[in-house]
This record gives sequence, structure tokens and C-alpha cells, in this order.
Amino acid sequence: MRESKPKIGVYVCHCGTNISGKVDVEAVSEYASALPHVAIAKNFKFMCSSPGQQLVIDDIRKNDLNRVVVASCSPRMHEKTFRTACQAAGINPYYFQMACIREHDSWVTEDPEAATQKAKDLVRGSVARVAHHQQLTSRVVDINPNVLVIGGGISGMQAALDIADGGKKVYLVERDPSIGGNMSKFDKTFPTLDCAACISTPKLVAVGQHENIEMMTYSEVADVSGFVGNFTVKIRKKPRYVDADKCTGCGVCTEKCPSKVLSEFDHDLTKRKAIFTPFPQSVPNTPVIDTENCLFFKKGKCRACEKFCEAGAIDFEQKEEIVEINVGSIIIATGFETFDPTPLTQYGFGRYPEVYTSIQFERINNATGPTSGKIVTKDGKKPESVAIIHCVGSRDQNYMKYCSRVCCMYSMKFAHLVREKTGAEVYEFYIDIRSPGKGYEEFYNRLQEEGTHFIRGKVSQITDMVDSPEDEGKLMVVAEDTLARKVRRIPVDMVVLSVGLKPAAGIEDIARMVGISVDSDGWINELHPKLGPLATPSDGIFIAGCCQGPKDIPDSVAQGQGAAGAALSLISRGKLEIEAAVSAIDPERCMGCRQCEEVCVYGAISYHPALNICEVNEAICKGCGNCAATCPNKAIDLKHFNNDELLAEMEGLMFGPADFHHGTDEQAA
Amino acid sequence: METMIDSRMMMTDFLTALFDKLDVAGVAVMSKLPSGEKTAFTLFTGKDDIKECVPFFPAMPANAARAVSKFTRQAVPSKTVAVFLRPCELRAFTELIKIKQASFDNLLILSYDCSGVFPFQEINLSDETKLNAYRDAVSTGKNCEGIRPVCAACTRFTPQGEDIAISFVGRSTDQPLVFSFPSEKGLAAAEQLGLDVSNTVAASSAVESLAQERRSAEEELTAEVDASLSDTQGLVNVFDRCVSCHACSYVCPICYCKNCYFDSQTFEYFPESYFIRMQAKGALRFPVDRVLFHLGRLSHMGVSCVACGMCEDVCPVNIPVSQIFKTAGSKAQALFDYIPGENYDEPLPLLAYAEQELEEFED
Ligand SMILES: Cc1cc2nc3c(=O)[nH]c(=O)nc-3n(C[C@H](O)[C@H](O)[C@H](O)COP(=O)(O)OP(=O)(O)OC[C@H]3O[C@@H](n4cnc5c(N)ncnc54)[C@H](O)[C@@H]3O)c2cc1C
Ligand code: SF4
Ligand code: SF4
Ligand code: SF4
Ligand code: SF4
Ligand code: SF4
Repeated sequence: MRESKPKIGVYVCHCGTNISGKVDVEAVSEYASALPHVAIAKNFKFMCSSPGQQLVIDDIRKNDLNRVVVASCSPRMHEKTFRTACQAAGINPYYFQMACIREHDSWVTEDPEAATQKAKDLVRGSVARVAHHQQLTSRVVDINPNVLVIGGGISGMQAALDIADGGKKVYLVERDPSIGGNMSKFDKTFPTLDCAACISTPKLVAVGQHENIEMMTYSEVADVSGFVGNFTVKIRKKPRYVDADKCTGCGVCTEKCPSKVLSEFDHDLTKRKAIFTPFPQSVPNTPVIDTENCLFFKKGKCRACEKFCEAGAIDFEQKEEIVEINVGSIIIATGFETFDPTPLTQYGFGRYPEVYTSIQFERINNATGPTSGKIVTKDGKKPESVAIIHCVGSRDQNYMKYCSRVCCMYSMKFAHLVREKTGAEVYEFYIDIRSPGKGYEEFYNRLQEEGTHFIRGKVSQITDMVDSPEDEGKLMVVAEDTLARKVRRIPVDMVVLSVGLKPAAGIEDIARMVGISVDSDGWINELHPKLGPLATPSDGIFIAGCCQGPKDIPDSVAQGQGAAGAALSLISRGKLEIEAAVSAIDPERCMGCRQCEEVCVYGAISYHPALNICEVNEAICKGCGNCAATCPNKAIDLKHFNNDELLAEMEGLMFGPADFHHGTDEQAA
Repeated sequence: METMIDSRMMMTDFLTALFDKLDVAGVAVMSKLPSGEKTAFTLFTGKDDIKECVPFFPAMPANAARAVSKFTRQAVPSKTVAVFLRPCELRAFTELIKIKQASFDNLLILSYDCSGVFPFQEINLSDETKLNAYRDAVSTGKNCEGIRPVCAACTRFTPQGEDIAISFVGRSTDQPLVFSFPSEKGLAAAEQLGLDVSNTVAASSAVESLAQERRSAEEELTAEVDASLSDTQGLVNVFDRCVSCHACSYVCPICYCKNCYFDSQTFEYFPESYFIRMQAKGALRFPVDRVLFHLGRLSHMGVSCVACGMCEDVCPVNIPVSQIFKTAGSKAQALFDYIPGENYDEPLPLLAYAEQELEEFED
């Protein structure tokens, strides 16, 4: 059924020469003018420009147009622009339809004649469709001003601080016992070589002390429901078995604990206790008990920590807690983890004690690390030569196809540190050096001047079978030097594997909970690679830092600030207009079979037992149409994509107009 | 296979016992209509009219799953109701449970190995010759002359998911009933009925010989339908006498929609549409959308079609609707490894997400 007698204006855009270079726009507008219900048809150089929009507005006003078709680019580009123009001229914004004759036509069709024909067909479909469009009005809901940040690395901390400084409340959820992320493991940072702790520790402290930040460490997100502006989030707080209010952070418990295990923070280079804080500057500095290794939890005996804790903070009775919070926006900043090189057996990681991963090497360089910052072999000797191998796991068809972006740079940072601290010879085995970034190429030049040996070629093997007796005890690095075109065998004391970055474990769960997707490598998909790098297809969900892909600290911080800005801008609006093109269930037709509920990936549908029908929550519905296609009853109407509209469009696309029946005014009314 | 026992009870004794010993709220079963010649699925709430019951009369006036859905869909009966369902009706019932249109709580489901039914129009209570031939066919495990083609080709004629099964094929109908109890509910009922489970009876070899006959009939039927529908023209030829009465969908047990989409406003086109189509095709036959209707119903219901034959039974113009649905349906079902009516826990294929499926149709 049509709501009113259609009076349609059709506007064909040249898009400079993007469209008019292929499509005969004049012919298309002339063709359109003869289509049923079309009152005006024009073509114009740039429809999206102000004069282009004004043309539509003036025509609507002067000629009482009540439907508009613009044939131009994709609706993803300018649907909103023209809807707004229609609204400005006083007609319902949904009385508008866009025919995509650029992306779907001029850009992809070789033959101008065929392109012109296709443009006519597309316009005909849109004209047929728009006649059936219905007026829709969007609803307005309040936005909860609180923000949740998931992940307390440098990007998450930065986002939390900016929002908190902006006067809004932030919940910062971190699954480790302390915030800080990967950066807190480093000693120096490229390219400026400033001390990582000096720049990150103040941030940790600021986060811990900010009155607007509620830190939830040793916690994970268990469930997210709701929609932009109104998310309800369940947080699972794991028991620390230490009462944070009583604990003074004195560390006696850790000292007295008799159970030792490999330290995750030091990547197995040292041991920690069963009750521990990951590193001395941990925030909060309340320890946690690792129940898998605590003697009391394992064997029922010990309680040494409890005995020695003067504050009486140890509480073996603590239970896991589920806390529910309400937020208007969520920032995901779950970062990365490093690639485990064990499967690449040619590098001997795990077999030769002097083969380290880069993140282990960061710990070795760090003053709080296993060697208090001294670069020495496991038996305490200063190395005479060190090999650093780039692209371990990265740019590798079998593991990670992509470039991890930071490894070249941190490898050179290591080279500098090794030379500075030990004077050893450093050999960097690289495929290409990638140093885009402010001051990065300069850093590379500096390293070359400092005497680091850069060898272009992939290492084929690391072995302890040395060539001459004086190298006994060293490791041989075998590589083809592709510039010198010969195989090099270099004896070294230490090998550093510059392992690539991969998404933090569990990222798919977070993505699923908030209704977004990850790419084939597991990184979160942003809304648009250029125009929406921090947004996601789920409104109100933003991303920052390495969860989207490998990047360095400056970029991670910039994204943290950007995401904070985006979240602040959203919540500052206070109110939110909700898209009107959503689904609605006709209670008269619904049989309560709940198939729609099953297929709605956004959880927008709920069952109403008393009425034995299903209902759509318009604020959550994304208008994807899954439910409408599934319901055999056709009880679901996807507004703006209802059956009348779609059938009319298809019919328009397939057939030319009827020569002798355009419908009378009465029928149309 | 569950052990079968001789109950030493005739049908009327059994029905009476359901009320007396099991204290059921009702028994839903086929019965004679007062008007004389036909039968209807009836819900009895007392034993007074039990002599009117004809549970195994070879006609299907309606798919009983539809009836049972009516009184279990929104609320569970507060007391046990015993229902007699043919195997295909029980399958339809299971499909309805999946789409929340029925519930088996507080039902005692009785079913039996089924020898098929005659087209509803063609069997009357007084048709002694036909009924005698039918009884002979049951006791020898053969397809009786004149039963519906989908019944003659029905290979799933032993029930699945019932509480009490009654064994007929290969036995004489005037002997005491032979039972087995595949479910806990059934076993509990046996105990309450005071049945002596030690009177075991051997399975009849007639079941297997009937199965064999049915399998070859099914192959023939499939080949026939395949040949008639081998192309679009075949589809048009088969359905072009359809009068669009939509009776087939009204009687289909699993066509559960309140208002069939094909009866909706969507198919009341705007007048110019008819001309547009006519112009494109050169002619337009009315009523329009006949093939579309059947394709629509096939796509909605094909995976769940239990081949009960109802649609074909009611078609005023003798289109072999059920034979087509049975054939096309089993192909769609095979694609998804789905067997309708087998297990109420199994999700419908369109609702089940499988990371990898239908790869043969990619690219
Ligand atoms: C060896 C090495 C050296 C590097 N050196 C430099 C350098 O010198 N200069 C430089 O600019 N960059 C360097 N980088 C890159 C730098 O580490 C990253 O740019 C930066 O750490 C990214 O910060 P982030 O906050 O995005 O992620 P992360 O630091 O990984 O922080 C993510 C946080 O989220 C938490 N988290 C993860 N999943 C969840 C979850 N499901 N729930 C709750 N919390 C979760 C994690 O525990 C972690 O605390 C280096 C990288 C490596 C591997
Ligand atoms: S699929 Fe259709 S009939 Fe079933 S519950 Fe949803 S709206 Fe109702
Ligand atoms: S259109 Fe339907 S399936 Fe899609 S989001 Fe909305 S309610 Fe869910
Ligand atoms: S299709 Fe026929 S034979 Fe098969 S179970 Fe149904 S009524 Fe019996
Ligand atoms: S019952 Fe027969 S005539 Fe009626 S719609 Fe079905 S196929 Fe067509
Ligand atoms: S389509 Fe026909 S045969 Fe299949 S279940 Fe429905 S009525 Fe029975």
C-alpha cells in the first residue's frame, strides 16, 4: 500500500567525471523523467555539494515533491546527506532512495552504453521502490554517561585518564593483577630511548588515584547486553584472597611464601611466589594468590602469608564476584601478546638456553628484570656477539602473514642497548627494514653508524655445531646473505628472536559479546580502515591500541586519546537518536515459535511468555533483516526494507514500466 | 528393539483401563462420526463413548498432530491425556515441538506400525470389501491395494518417540493388543495398568517384508517425481492446474503460520504490476503466483515435511502435492543431514549454525 500519491524528483549526479565519464547522465535523467510518478528529473555536477542539495530542497518546496531519488554514489557515502536535505525541505527523510550508479556501475562497467543502460535500470528500480516508501520517525533515548575501558595497557590507561579528566566516570577492567600491559615490561623505548618506566609509571599511579576511575583488576568481562548509550555489563572479579582494603602492600607475604613458580611477567626467566604482584610498581600493589600453586589450596597446609601479614589482609574465603555496571560506551583496548617461536624449531628456542624472545630480552634489559638490567648470558658472562633475528613468525605464510610493525624498530633498540652496555658485536638479520615514523629512519641511520652489522637474509638455522674449536659453547647462526649472495655462518653468544605480535587470547569472546567481528588474523575489525579507525559496526563500541593490529606506543596512545574523544563526544550528547529502519513484530501474526530470537545475532529479540509472542527492542536492532527472512509467518516487518518495497524495487529492476497503466490517483491514495 | 508383550487386552478394554487405572483426563483418538460414514480425530473425556473409537481406521481426516498442538501449544494439560498418533503424525508433532507449537508434557503418546491409509474421499466405515482387504494386508505385511501413494512408499511406518507402541503388522486385528514400552513414561504406565511384562511375544517378520516393499515403492515414486520435475517447465506442468485454494497449506501439520504469507496483502499487487508483468511475459494466467506459492511452501516447510500425505488428500484438482513434497523434502533434508520428526532436541537446519556447510554450493 502506498501512503500518498507519489510525486517523485530524480537527480542524476555526474560526480565530476566519476559517473559522467562512463554514463550518459543526460540520457538517464531524460529516461527517468518519463517513468511513472516522476515529476522532475535533472542531472547535476555534484549532487552532494551545497548547490546540489539546495537543488533538491528548492524543487521539493516549489513542486510539492514528496519522494526523491538521487542516482550517485553508494548510500554508505551520502544517504545521510540527502535524507537530511529532504528533511530540511519538509518531507520525511525516509521518502528518499539512493541509486548507486558509481560503485555498482560507472566504476565497474567497461562499455559506456552498457553503463548507461544499467544506470537506467537502477534508477527505474529506485523509482519503483520509493513510491512505496513509508514515513518513519526515529526515537530518542538517554545516554548513560559512564564508560567502560577493557584492557589496562598504555592505550586503555590513556583512554581512561582522558575520559576521567573530562569529568566522566570510567570503569577500567584489566584481567591481570596489575594494569600496565606490555609496556611495563620494557626498559627503554624506541626511537628516543627514553625510559619506559619513567613515562608509564606516572600513568599507572594517576589511573590508580583518579577519583573518576574505578579500577577492576584481576577481572574480566563476563557479559554485555543492551545497546549504545545503555549497556549493562557483568564483570567477573576473580578472588585475590587478599583484602585490598586492609593490605598495605608491604610484601611480607610474598617474601614468606615458600612456593615458587615461573614468572609470567618475566616470561619464565625468573620465579615468582604463589602470592605475588607481577612487578614492583604494580597498580594496585595488592598481591593475589595463585591457587594452582598455593600450598594451602593444593595441599591444605601452609598459610604462611596469613601468619605473617600484620594487616590481617589474607582471606582464603574470598569468592568470585559478579559485579553489574551500566555504561553508555565501551572502549576495547586488549592489546596483544607475543608469538611463541617454539614451533619454528630451526631457531632452537627452548632447546638452546641462549636463545631468547624479544619480550624476554626486554626483561633482561629492565632494571627490575632477572639480571637487574645487565646483558649477560645465563652463566653470567658478558656476550661478545649477539644475533637479532627479525620477522620471527611475522611475514610468514605459515604463521602470521602480516608485518608486526614494531619488531624492526625494537630490534634496533636492542642493538643499541647491547652495544652500549656490552660493546658486543651485533648482527641484525632482516628481510626489509621498516622504519616509517617520526625519527625512525634517523634511528636506523644512527644504528648503522654505531657499527651494528645489518645482514639482509632469512636465518635458516641456529645450531650448537660450531665450525672451529675456539667457538665451542657458542651458537652458529646460519643465513643466506642475499645482498652478498653467500651463506654466512656467524658464531654468537646470544640470540634474540624478534617475535611478532598477535591478538590477546580471548579477543573473540569480547568481540562476540559486543557484537563485532575480528579479521582472519584475529584483530578487531574497525568500522572503516580510513574514516572510522576507532569505531566499530556496533554503535558505542570503540577500539584503541594493538587490539586492532600491531602498532607502537605513540600510535597506541594516540588511539587511546582518540577513542576517549569519540566516547566523550557520544556521551556528552546526553541523548541519542535511534535508527528508524528497524524490525517490528506484528503481535497479531506472531505464533511465538522463537525462531527469530534464535537468529538475531544482536540479541534484539525477546520472548514475551504471557502473550506468547516475540518482541523487538528497537534500540538494539540493527535492521539486518535476519529475523524478517526467518519468520515463516512473515510477522516481522523490517521497516524501510519491507516486502512491498523490496518487491517493487525488484519488479522495477526487472521490467520496464507498463505502457498503459500507471494507476489512477484514487488507487494511489 | 524393546520387548513386546501380549497384553491380553482388546482395544476397548485398553481404552477403559486408560481411564480407570491411569486416570487420564482424556483420550484423543479417531472415532466414528454420528453422520455415519466418516471418522474424525476426537478428544474423549470419559469412557462412555469408547465403543465409537476406531483408532486404526485407515483414513486420515486431519493430521492429528495439528489437533494435539491446539491443546498443548500455550499451556500444558494439568492431567495426563493419552493420544493416538500415526508415525507420520508423531513426526509432525515432534517438528511442532521444535517450533514451540506443541508440548509433550503430560501426554501419553501411543503409536503403532502403520499400514497406511486410503485417500479420505475413498474410504467409508461401511466399505467392508476394502476394509477386509486392508486387514489381510496388515496381517501379511503387504501394501493394500488403494492406499495413498505416499503411504505405499512410506518407509518410516514404525513410530519414533512414542511411550507405548502397538504392534499390528503381521498380526490379526481381532487378537489382544501387543505392546512395547520404549519410554520411561510408557513403562510406568504399563505398571499402573497392571500388565504382565513376562508375556513376551516375538517380533513378526512381516514388518521387514513390508519395509522392503515400501522401499522399492519409494524408489519408484522418487524416480517418477524426479522425472516430472526435471526442469522449470516440469514444475509449471505439474502445478498449472492448481486453483490456489491453499487447502494444502491449511491442512499441513507443520504449516503453522497464523496467516499464511501467501494469503497476505503482499500478494495483492498494485494494479499496474499486473500490466508490467503481462507486458514482460506476453500473457498472465490467473490466479497468479501459483508456482511461487508452492516454491515458497517448499522452501518454508520442505526440510520439515514428514510426508503425511494430508496436502495431497485435500487437493481438489489431484495434484500429487505430497509426493512432490516428500521427494523434494527428503533431498533438502539430506543436504542438512536432517531427519524431521526424529528427535525434538535437534534444531531446525536453518537455525543451526555450522561453521562449514553447503560447501558444494560455494563459488
Ligand atoms: C618486544 C617489544 C618491544 C616493544 N618496544 C616498543 C618501543 O620501544 N616503543 C614503542 O613505541 N613500542 C614498542 N612496542 C610496542 C608496544 O608494546 C605497543 O605499542 C603497546 O604496548 C600497545 O599497548 P596496548 O595498550 O594497545 O596493548 P597492551 O600493552 O598489550 O595492553 C593490553 C592490556 O589489556 C589486557 N587485556 C587483554 N585482554 C583482556 C581482557 N579480555 N579483559 C581484560 N583485560 C585484557 C592485558 O592484560 C593488557 O594489560 C614493543 C613491543 C614488543 C613486543
Ligand atoms: S519467527 Fe515469527 S512467528 Fe516465530 S516468534 Fe518470531 S515473529 Fe513470531
Ligand atoms: S533485524 Fe531482526 S535479526 Fe536483525 S538485528 Fe533487528 S531484530 Fe535482530
Ligand atoms: S504416511 Fe501413511 S503409512 Fe506413513 S505413517 Fe503416515 S499414514 Fe502411515
Ligand atoms: S490444495 Fe491443490 S489446488 Fe489447492 S493450493 Fe494446494 S495444490 Fe493448489
Ligand atoms: S507438506 Fe504435505 S506431506 Fe508434507 S507435512 Fe505438509 S501436509 Fe504432510
